[in-house]
Amino acid sequence: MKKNKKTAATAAMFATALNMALGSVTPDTVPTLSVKADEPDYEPSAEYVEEVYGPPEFFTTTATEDAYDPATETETTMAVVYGPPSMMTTEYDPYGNENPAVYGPPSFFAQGDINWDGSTDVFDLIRLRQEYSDSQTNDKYYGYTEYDVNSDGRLSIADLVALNRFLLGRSTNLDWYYDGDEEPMPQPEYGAPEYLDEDEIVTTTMMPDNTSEETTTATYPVYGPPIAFD
Amino acid sequence: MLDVRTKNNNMTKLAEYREGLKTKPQLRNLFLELTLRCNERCLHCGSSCGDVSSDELTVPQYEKFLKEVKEDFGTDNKMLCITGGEPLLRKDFFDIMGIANQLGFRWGMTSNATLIDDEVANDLKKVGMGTISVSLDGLPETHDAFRRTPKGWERAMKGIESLIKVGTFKSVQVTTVVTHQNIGQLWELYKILRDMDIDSWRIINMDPIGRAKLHPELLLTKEDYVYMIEFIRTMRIAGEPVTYGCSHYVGLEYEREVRDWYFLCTAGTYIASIMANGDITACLDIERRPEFIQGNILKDRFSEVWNNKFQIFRKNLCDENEKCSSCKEKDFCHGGSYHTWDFDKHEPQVCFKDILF
Ligand SMILES: C[S@@+](CC[C@H](N)C(=O)[O-])C[C@H]1O[C@@H](n2cnc3c(N)ncnc32)[C@H](O)[C@@H]1O
Ligand code: SF4
Ligand code: SF4
Repeated sequence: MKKNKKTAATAAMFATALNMALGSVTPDTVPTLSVKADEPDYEPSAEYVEEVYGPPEFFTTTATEDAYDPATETETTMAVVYGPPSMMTTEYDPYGNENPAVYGPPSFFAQGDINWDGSTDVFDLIRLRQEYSDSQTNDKYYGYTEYDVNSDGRLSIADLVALNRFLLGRSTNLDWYYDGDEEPMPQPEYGAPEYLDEDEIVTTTMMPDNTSEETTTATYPVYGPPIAFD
Repeated sequence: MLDVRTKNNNMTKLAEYREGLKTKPQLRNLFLELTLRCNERCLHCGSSCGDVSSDELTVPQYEKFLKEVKEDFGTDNKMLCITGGEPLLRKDFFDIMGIANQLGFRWGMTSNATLIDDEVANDLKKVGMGTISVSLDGLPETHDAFRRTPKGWERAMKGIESLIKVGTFKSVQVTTVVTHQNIGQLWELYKILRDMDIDSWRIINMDPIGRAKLHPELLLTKEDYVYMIEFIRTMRIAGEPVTYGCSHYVGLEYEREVRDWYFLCTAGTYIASIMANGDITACLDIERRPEFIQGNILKDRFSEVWNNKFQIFRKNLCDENEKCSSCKEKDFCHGGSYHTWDFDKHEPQVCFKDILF
């Protein structure tokens, strides 16, 4: 697929948001992701007729052109050389591991496999984002659990960034944030983290590809259109 | 991820702008449905096309109509969007588009591309086609089954290659309609499209319109919708030219992040459509009820219809329904896409409240 100014500008916009999140992660601050979505003097009537089939676009995205920052450009270039591994399937048996590692995350879940469905994909990102926002108001222990994607002993925006980068193929190591020199945090008891309520675990978030074997479980929503109203 | 306050501001301005459009519409996209006939018979076809009979306008009728449009509106800032059925099934396709081109209209089309080879692609260039959107609805087997056309995928791919070979089009786009059946194939499809020289990939969900209503099992589930929207955003973060379509308000978090603009259904304010038989309406995807036919180009002058009728499209759908009118998002959503409004029950058939926001 072709890349152009517009896609670069879009990627730069997102990259800036992610960079800002990364730059300000410290143990005690929770950064807000806030990159302006468009130029401030947005003028809806100034748009062009959409060139590609389909009803029109409202304005051209020259959004970040003026304020093009070299730092964001580096990110954009990375985005453009984006590699293939967007979905990784990891085979594992949740109960088969009798010798959990002493240090590092308990290995009965694959790193990045937040929802325990055996693969690391966009669903995990969604689940992680939900959990991250919940974590702002609860006092669960997240260190070295599946939510602690980068194994730094806590759940923070950096875990979201790490997983996102991984899914985008920008990093191959989910631990990329982890500084090996640091003393690992105390490990939770072996076994499933106790706060995990079994009922809450979404077991089939992978899209079934139409074989009956895969379209199972009660957690999967019923087929049919979204319910507009109950 | 992006700043919600800015989005909020922009969408507020857009809502004001939309108010103005209702009284001062600006014709920009004129859809011409050249035929209802199609060499494919997609399970989901919103216009119920296929091996059907179709009243069609003649070349002179199109010529007269296009000249009038030019006289009344000019050709600046106008785009003809050619669609069907499969437009290339018309033997006189190149005559009609040759006339449009000579009159100075810019135009693009949607096609299944199965009828495009090197020669056709060259002819399309000669008659001034600017953009094209080709349907690919999943991996080969799924695409063929869904479109009920053996070798449909293979031929569409050849068509795309021919278009790319000609190379001078402004945009060669692929459109994928996502269903509950093919959603698991998006990543695989991406790997194929990534290596092709297409300009963009438009990903839209199957909407419950036309024949798709007969296949509720193919509609996306709540979870599918979230997956699709996240997929699009992830692609855009990666700098890929992937976009959602014009439809459906997706909520403050995703608006502007899955497309280059904010939701606004412009059926009847920017968009008018001429059906295969000459009937005038706003958008071809809207349910074809008698009350939506605003006239017919064989008996009415289009500009008069556009200026004096169309009131039915220039209002807020959300006012018709209690849930929408008490919804916090209604100033940005306005009741959603016209084409998925249920005009019997007066409620949206697709609403992402509690799914995406
Ligand atoms: C009606 S077709 C006409 C052009 C051409 N025959 C083709 O197949 O692309 C235009 C576009 O509308 C899409 N479409 C048809 N029914 C739909 C539905 N129920 N929901 C969403 N998109 C739909 C098609 O997949 C195609 O991309
Ligand atoms: S009716 Fe639907 S397809 Fe037509 S402009 Fe509105 S949202 Fe887009
Ligand atoms: S309830 Fe109505 S106004 Fe609110 S988001 Fe849904 S469709 Fe839009």
